[in-house]
Amino acid sequence: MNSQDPDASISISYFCSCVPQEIIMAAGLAPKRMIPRARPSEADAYIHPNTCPYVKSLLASALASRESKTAGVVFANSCDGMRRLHDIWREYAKTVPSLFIEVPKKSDPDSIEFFGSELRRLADNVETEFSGSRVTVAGLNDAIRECNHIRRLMAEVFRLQRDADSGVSGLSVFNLCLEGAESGGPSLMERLQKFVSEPREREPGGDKPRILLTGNVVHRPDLITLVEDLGGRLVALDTCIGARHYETLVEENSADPLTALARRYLQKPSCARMEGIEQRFQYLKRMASDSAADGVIFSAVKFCEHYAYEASLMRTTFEEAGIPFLYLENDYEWSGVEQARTRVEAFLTIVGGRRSE
Amino acid sequence: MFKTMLEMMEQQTASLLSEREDARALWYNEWARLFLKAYEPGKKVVYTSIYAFPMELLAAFDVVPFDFEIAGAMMATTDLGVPTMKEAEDRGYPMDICSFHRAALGASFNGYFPDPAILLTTSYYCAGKSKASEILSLFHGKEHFLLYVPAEINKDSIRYVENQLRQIVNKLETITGQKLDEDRLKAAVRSANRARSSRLKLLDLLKHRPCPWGGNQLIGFSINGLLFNGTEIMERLNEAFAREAQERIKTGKVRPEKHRIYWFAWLPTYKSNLFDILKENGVSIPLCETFRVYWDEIDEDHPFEGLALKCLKNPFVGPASRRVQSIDKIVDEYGIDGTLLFATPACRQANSAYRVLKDSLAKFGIPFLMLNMDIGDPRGYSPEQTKTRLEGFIELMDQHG
Repeated sequence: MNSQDPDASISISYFCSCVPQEIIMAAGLAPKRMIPRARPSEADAYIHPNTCPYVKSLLASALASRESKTAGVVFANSCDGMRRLHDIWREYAKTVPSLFIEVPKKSDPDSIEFFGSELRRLADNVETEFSGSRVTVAGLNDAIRECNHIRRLMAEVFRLQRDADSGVSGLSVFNLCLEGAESGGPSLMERLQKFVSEPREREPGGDKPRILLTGNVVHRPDLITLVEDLGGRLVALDTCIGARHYETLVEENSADPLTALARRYLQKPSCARMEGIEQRFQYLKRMASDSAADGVIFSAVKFCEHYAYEASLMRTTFEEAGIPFLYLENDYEWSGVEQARTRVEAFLTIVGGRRSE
Repeated sequence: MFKTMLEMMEQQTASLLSEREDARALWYNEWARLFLKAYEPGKKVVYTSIYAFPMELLAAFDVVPFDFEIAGAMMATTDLGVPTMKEAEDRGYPMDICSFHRAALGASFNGYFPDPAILLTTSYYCAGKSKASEILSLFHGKEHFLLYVPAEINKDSIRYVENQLRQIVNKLETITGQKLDEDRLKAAVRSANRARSSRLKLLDLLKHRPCPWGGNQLIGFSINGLLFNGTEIMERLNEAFAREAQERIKTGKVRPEKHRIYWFAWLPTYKSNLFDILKENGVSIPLCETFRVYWDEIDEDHPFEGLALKCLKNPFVGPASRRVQSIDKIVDEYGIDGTLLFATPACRQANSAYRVLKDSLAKFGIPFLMLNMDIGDPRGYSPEQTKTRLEGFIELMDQHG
């Protein structure tokens, strides 16, 4: 069994949902998504100020040696900012060794085959560079089953979130997602199992405006707290650590688990880095429909090009579908949360008004 | 609107060329004529990234290449630039995205550009270009194909790019109704190899002190000139610029120079005082990173592999360290005493790792200036600020002797 207790194992960080945690687990190491807490501006002497603040916060965190518990990091070529972060990391944050994997932005058979070869390289390098154990087919299949189990449990969590009267708040789901990103193994499974099976009083929540939150790296609860404090209910979470991170299972017990992983990681619902704007919007519309969302809040960190280019079309898509849409840019730290308050309040009033019509 | 602009460009340069030889006029003339062809009925127009895409493939088919980003940049040289950017902004495209792309989106929404038959884009230089391409494919209802080029060079990445190039050929065969003529592709590759040699010759001439050519023309040509790669026009243009450089060296008609700088990234297309200040202070630009020859000659018998390698070796594909590869040799051979990174705010891939570039140059005691200035949007432009920054940079080079 690959289950790793994150507190006891050597932890390997990753920054993006494109990195298959299963490979790190199969090497006997504990994958942990790095949720940096350093101020992005602390990295300005090393990286252009107009770079995504998440990338900057990661760098600031590494430069301040705040990630000393990390034995290594796996970078994905997810975006220009991340690629350049790796360039800087290799020069100025050398104390934390790094690996880099290429991730195609499309999911056709050639891209899957190529990504499979990248994952083979990653499996070899995790062993040699991070002192992991040898990655075997059996070890990968164990890790896949374990991650799939977590994915199934999270699917149940998201189902409860959608249930108007379940008494499950968006904030509690967000906190679970955060926990899921930073941990794993039996303790997470136990925690999720308890969450989905614990008896809770059903609370009628039918009148609250139901909000779908989509975007990229929402790692702080500020916006969710704001929405729920102002009388809204977060019924779906499509962010890097939210539902799309857990969607789509990996084929289990495959003779070629690396290809199975390549297929899943390229074909799962994606962020805006991937090609396929129309498919992504269809997925989001389906999510809005499944969660009976009354409104969509789109929140992206500043300078995220992928999302900036799509914002306009996303607004049009939802407005044409009759679903009110609010675009809130943030600086990763949510220093502008009070300015957002007025906009969210007005948005919930509109959404609530339509709901009662 | 844009077509009118091209017609004027074509007429003005044709008139100049009827009087005398002029490499720049020839370049602009060919450029205008090619883009004008895209408006002719029945032409199969391929939107692409002319500076990144292996143009040799397009040269093997009866298609007209068109680059919406370059066209957006051309719009930005005129009073039409800001209104077209605003057209995109009014539709919700934020000012954080590249001003060339905003101009191109706005111009497309206004119907200024020719309609594409297909959109072929590359994953490099930047993520924004492929995103804009996909948006335009939805706008025009035409197919979009992304040539994804991985950051590392190995047998798997070579095969992956090669396979994609073959897929592109299939798509070109479909839109043109022509089967790939292998001899025509070989001829395009041969032509590109000759153009490579003439570029090397030109690069050699640029080592001359004082520099016989360079500056903003060099930077512009190094990017937009690649539109003709794979055709005899590319060879003719390189040769024309080389002839002019040789003539200037021979006649001594070369501006005296005090400093020689190496240029990273792009240049602004709207009217600014940037190049005037450099000229007034005797600063020449004998080389820019986009004019370097980073690729090997392509084996015409294995064109797909050669073109795949050319894509993979592009300095904007891999790590930032590739951009300063052999920089010691460049500093030495071109007598470089300063470097400037033109940092347009939306170009994260070019700017984010500026520190890697700066520190690589610092090893040789070469001053580095990161000049933050938009590439196509003049609305935030401050001539005073540019002047102050450039003067400080020149003083620093003076101190270094």
